[in-house]
Amino acid sequence: MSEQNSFDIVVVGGGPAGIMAAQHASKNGKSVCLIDRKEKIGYPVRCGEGIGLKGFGISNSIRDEWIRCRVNTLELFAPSGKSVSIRNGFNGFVVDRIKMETDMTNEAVQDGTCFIAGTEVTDAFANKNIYSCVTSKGTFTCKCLILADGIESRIARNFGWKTALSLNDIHTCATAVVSNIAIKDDSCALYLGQKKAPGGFIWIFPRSDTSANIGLGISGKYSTPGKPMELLNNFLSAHFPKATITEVHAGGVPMGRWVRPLVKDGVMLVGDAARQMNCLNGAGINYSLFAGKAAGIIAAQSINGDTCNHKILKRYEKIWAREFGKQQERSYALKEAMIHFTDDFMNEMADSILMQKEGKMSLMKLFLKAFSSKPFLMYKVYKLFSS
Amino acid sequence: MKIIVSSEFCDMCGTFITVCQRNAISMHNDSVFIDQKRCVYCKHCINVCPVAALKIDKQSGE
Repeated sequence: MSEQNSFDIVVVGGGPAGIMAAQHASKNGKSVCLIDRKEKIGYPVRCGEGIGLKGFGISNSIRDEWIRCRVNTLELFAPSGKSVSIRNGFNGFVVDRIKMETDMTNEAVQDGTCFIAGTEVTDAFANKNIYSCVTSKGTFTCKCLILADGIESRIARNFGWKTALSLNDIHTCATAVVSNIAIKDDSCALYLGQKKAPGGFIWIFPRSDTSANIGLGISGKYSTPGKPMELLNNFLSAHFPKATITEVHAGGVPMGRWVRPLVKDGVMLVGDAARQMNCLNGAGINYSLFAGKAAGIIAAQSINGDTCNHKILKRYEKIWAREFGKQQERSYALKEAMIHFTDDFMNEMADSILMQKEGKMSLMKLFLKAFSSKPFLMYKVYKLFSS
Repeated sequence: MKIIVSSEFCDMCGTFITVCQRNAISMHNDSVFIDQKRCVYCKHCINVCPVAALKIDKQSGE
């Protein structure tokens, strides 16, 4: 084994979770290798690029050059087309993910990370507490392996995790970059409806006042071949018939609970690979940044000379559970409840909200309103919120 | 019978791999491999594909 391919920590996958893990492990003095399948960082973007301000601030500081738009309003469209406007419903940004991830990767490299792009890990295995990742550029070994290989989470399967998702716990998506449209650049929109997007929703995140990331996700259990792309095309031709569509991509968003355990011996799961996202809206960037940072710091702390203390690694799971674990459980319960909402019910809900006085309507109030007329759903989520 | 992927439509998003309970699908160097011995034809991969890039080839002798 060549010395050059031997590291304290190897991170597989260079998305937000993997980059954060690599950077923070490097900052804490360990030798780190970050391996990413893609040649070009961040591309293609299979994402709405929306980030909540509060969650982002916990892990990183946002830079002006990463921001496409600042958003302060969420418009929820009922199946009937009536909309409910929630001010401060989404206080955040639409970011340029490629720019953000490129800058973050460059910083990780400055901090000492060895970054290997365009290289796929084809196999991974453990041998006496040394982990090996096989690639076309040789085998990379480490004492601690951080898996951030995205929604597929395939490498975790080599270490006994069952990361395959049920159809209920995945959204299958189609996304488009759309220009030549007229929209508000401080407002994002979600369209609900079992016909428009069964078990999911359509999102519009502004890139400017003339362009947007528009996408659609539907529950895997309602999907038929090609349905997401077909429904997105239907939506675009109905709402933005004159738009120019510059990029179209397919994608999946995990909507399941986080993988347990998050750590096995010297292997840690982070980001989409660990199913760390908000199960209600699929937002995952903030969760990934937080988990990646925590995993990177803990991994660095666990390594002392030639050994990795696996007990220390387990702290990462505790930190995650404390910060976001319960929040994610709640979002899962709400997602499970929402799948029962019929179009008629969503329309009624929108009507009753619109009859109320203008003013601040928080997301929580909206859900309470919804659940108050569906006591069985209320009960289902009650325990989570009360415990 | 076997499941085949049309590389012309496939966007390599990996969604179909994620739902494979049999761990039968892998993707290397922009090519998709389906282990036909592991596959139980549950069709989850076919149904979740956002761009309808997968289909069952009934003509195949396997």
